[in-house]
Amino acid sequence: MTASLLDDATLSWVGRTVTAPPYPVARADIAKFALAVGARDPVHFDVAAARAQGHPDVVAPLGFYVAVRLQSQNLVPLDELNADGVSPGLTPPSRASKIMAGDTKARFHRRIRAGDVITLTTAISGIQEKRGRSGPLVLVSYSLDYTDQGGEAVVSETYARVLR
Amino acid sequence: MSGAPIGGFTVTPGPVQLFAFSAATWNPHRVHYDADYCRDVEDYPGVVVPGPLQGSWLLELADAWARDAGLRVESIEYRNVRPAFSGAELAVGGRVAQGPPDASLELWVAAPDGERHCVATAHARPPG
Repeated sequence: MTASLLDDATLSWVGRTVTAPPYPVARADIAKFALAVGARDPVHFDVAAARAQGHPDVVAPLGFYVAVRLQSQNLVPLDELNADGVSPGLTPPSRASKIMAGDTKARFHRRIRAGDVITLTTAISGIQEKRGRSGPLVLVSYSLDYTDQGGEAVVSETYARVLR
Repeated sequence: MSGAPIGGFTVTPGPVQLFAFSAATWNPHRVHYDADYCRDVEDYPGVVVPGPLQGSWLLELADAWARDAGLRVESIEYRNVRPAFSGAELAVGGRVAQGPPDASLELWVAAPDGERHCVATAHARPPG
């Protein structure tokens, strides 16, 4: 039998919830993300172009919610990061040494735009150990709610991390 | 329109784009910029292209297709099935699996030999 990656505390993390400090979305945040992805549509850079399309301000590429998620997780002093650079954050303790991204599902209620203040609440919805091709792995499932300054849902996401 | 290919694009993410993406998302995970660490500690042959960057390309493709069809992207589900490495050419493509008006898109990021790095399903519907 292969050793388990779970330690005594791993499963007790199910249900843990963290609400990050509100994230005010600046035009420059959207421009940087759009440039990094390779998105060229002026609605990401030019307020007039965005307004001409009916938006109140520049709008983010759909993938931008990930920038909100990662910044919410990783805005910690650098010496508090793990040796691999990942923020320990909501990663349950285990005997695993590698972290990989698993499945992600996102539902878009509306576009994120400059001026939004996004609050991200992250909950661990499940932890499951599985037997992978190269040994045991732990699947940590997260449920994430991105809400705006009015409390309305902007993006809902479920996301898994694979620990092995 | 069901079964129709969606015009995709190719991209070869290198150090500059990978730096920009990790900076824009404030992602300090070393597998995305530290080649020595990738090789010596995690046994990767190169710097790993972030899964969310691949997901973002798929969303750009879905968004452009949806706008042309008068739809809005409602959701995406994607899975990174095989790591992609800095400097490799990647093809971002897809096809219409169902609809419109309630459209379902099958999307992927693939190597030139067709092997998939990231696979996704996106749904798009008329706005409102």
